[in-house]
Amino acid sequence: MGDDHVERLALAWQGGDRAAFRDLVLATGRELRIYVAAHCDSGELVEEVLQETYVACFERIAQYKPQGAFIAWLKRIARNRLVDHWRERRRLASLDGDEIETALSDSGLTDLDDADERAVASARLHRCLDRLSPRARTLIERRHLQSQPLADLAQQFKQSVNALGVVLHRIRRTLRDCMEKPA
Amino acid sequence: MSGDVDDDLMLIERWRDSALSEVELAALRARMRDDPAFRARFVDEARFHGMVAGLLGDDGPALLGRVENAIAGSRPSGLHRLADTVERRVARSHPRRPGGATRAFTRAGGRRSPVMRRIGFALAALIAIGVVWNMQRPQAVRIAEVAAADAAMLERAGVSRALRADEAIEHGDVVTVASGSAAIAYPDGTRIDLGADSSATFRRDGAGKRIRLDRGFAQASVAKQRAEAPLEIATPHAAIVVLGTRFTLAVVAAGTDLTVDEGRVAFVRGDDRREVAAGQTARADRDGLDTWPISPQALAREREAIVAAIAPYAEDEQLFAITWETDLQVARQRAAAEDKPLLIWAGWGHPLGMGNTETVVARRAIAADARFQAALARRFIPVAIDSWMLTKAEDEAGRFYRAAIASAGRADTTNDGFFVVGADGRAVASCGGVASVDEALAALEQGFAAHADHGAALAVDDARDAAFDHRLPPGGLALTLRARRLDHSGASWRAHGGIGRDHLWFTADDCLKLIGDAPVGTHRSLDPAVARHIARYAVADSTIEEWAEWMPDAVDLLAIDSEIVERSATRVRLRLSGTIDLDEGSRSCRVALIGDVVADGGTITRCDLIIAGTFRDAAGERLVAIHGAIAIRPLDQRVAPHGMRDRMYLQRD
Repeated sequence: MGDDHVERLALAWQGGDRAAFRDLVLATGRELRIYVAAHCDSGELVEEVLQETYVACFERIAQYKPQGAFIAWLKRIARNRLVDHWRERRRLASLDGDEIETALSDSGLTDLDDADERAVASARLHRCLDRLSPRARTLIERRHLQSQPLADLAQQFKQSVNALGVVLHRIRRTLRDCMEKPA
Repeated sequence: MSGDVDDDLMLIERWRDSALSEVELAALRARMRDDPAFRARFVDEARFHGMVAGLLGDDGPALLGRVENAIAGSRPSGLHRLADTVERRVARSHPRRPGGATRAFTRAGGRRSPVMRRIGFALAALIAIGVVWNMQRPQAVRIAEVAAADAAMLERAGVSRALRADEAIEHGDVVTVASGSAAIAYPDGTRIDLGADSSATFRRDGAGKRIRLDRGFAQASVAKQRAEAPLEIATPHAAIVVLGTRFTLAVVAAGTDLTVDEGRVAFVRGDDRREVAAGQTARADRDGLDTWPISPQALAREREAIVAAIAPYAEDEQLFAITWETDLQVARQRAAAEDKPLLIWAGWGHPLGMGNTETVVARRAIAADARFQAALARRFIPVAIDSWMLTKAEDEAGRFYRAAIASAGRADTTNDGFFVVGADGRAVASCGGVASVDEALAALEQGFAAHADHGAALAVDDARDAAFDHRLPPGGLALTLRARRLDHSGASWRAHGGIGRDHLWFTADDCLKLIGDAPVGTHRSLDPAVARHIARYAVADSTIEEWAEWMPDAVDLLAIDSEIVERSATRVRLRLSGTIDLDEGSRSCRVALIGDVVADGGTITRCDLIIAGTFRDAAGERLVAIHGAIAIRPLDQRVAPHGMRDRMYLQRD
């Protein structure tokens, strides 16, 4: 999807064309997801930030200055949402003395400074996920997208919990290896 | 820890599942604080998990649907959204389960964290502001009213309160049912019943009714809608477009299940649009839309008609007018004692329990012929066996069978047909291929005459090859399975083609798992091993070619609910209901299953299974129904299931 096309959709929407907004979400959804996923620690958070970004975008389209950088504008909105999110979690973690939450939110905030690098890695990982075998893809989706507990998956795949943990680890290691190679 | 994954990685997996004890969680926090290397590794791994999960999400129609719903009436007001967001973040930061933190927190019940108490005060303040704001709202649009409410909440403009019967439902209202139910009635007679743990947002778009069912169970009875203004129900996985019908929706995290009772419903996911008709069921999930030709509910309603359509005709049962032995060793002992030759009916698959190939049908016609049966009854010991089993069995029966067949000098590979064999083990006549009754009778005459010239009977060694022992295990239960191809039109079910026969065996352990020990009213998933056993070995089209069991990884969907409807000190009754999706690439099937199981004094005395759905293979697609019931005839209890060819049959894969 070319930037010109996205820019035309943004202008049409700014001009009051509601249908253009739908097309704009469909045209930019993947790229925005890749950007947001690079900065989250759960699928739920990704969905929440994506939704909030598009809602904010919908409400503030009048503020967009057409200059051929609509996706960059979207990503700035998403980044602000992520900053809000990680700061709030960091603050609550401090109040509770929760070391796990503190570590995760520190990492979330720090990584926002390396947004470009993480977005590239995320895009590579996105491509790598498409290269998984059907069985590996099914397993990884059930574990990570559907958040199915390891014990349930072990039962479904007729393996012990530990054996399934090994399989999942190997799939993720394959994904990491693939992600670290340039496209 | 085995393999190449260490304990720390398993610890992270368990943390993700909220499976750590308080002690383990405290230890984990301490390590996060004191061990920088571990902390870095933990964070890296957790973040990678999150990145994978986030990238797997849908960035097409599903994302658009959520955004549109957020922008339209289902979006909480600004104040409420802020409060909601804060609450979600707090919940996520406590005993964590990524992807399910909010629910895990709220369901924990009773004990609130200090942070949650702080947020509670903030929320109270926000809600108070919301009430003032709400008073300034313009006149709302009434779209329906509450016909009944029990333990349900109404959320309007950011303020939640108990839902009351007879009050109005306005555009944008969210009805959430915890443990009770709620019924929403529209002026045109349309009614939506919401079950426990459901949440729905009601909107109006011009004249069209719009509902978003985020989770739970909804039963809809929809009056005739104008074509240009259908009722639309959106779920996280699909949309349902309705012009007038009755149907049921169940929304869980993994998908949306639709069952249509009357009329037709359009089931839409992205560009995929399916018409789902009365009696059918469909599911939308991440993989797309799937439809089943009949739902378990429709199967239960039409059970009698389907069972009647499958039932054998008189000529189908003629086969059993004589007493077939099914155990070669027992037959040999009888032959020796009565000084009669054996008539072995061998099939590549048991002759008394298999499909309808041309040769099988021809031999079945011979075996059911009155003249053939009369000749057998007077002068032979008739025995029907699965030649596949005896070709492989390393025991006396296998060796006797193979030697007998070799002595017949037949050239075919499967050694099927009728063989007259003397007690000394030599075949004196045979009849294979697609023979006529007269040819078979001639073989009997020839064989009987030759038998008189043969020597003494061999001794019978009853030791068995355990891998091919085709006897029902002690304490086990045998079911007969009958299958037919059906045509379905309106309420009528019409059978065509021959009947397919097979058997299904449960071990004593299976029977215990089937009955279970849950109290009355309990719904649970049928024991996975028993459910897979039924799916792999009973869900098969035995009306056609010789078939094999389904491979273990063919099971794409196996969802069988078991409901205990009666339990006393001596008697248990349960109902089974569910759907099964099997796919091996070259063949597949989608069926619904219902079952009625009764146990008296710990023994299963009734086990009725009805299975119906479509089967697809290279020959095309067909509708097949299967009826399983406890084998009553002693003969049926002795015929080994076709699935016995799978060495895992009784061990459970």
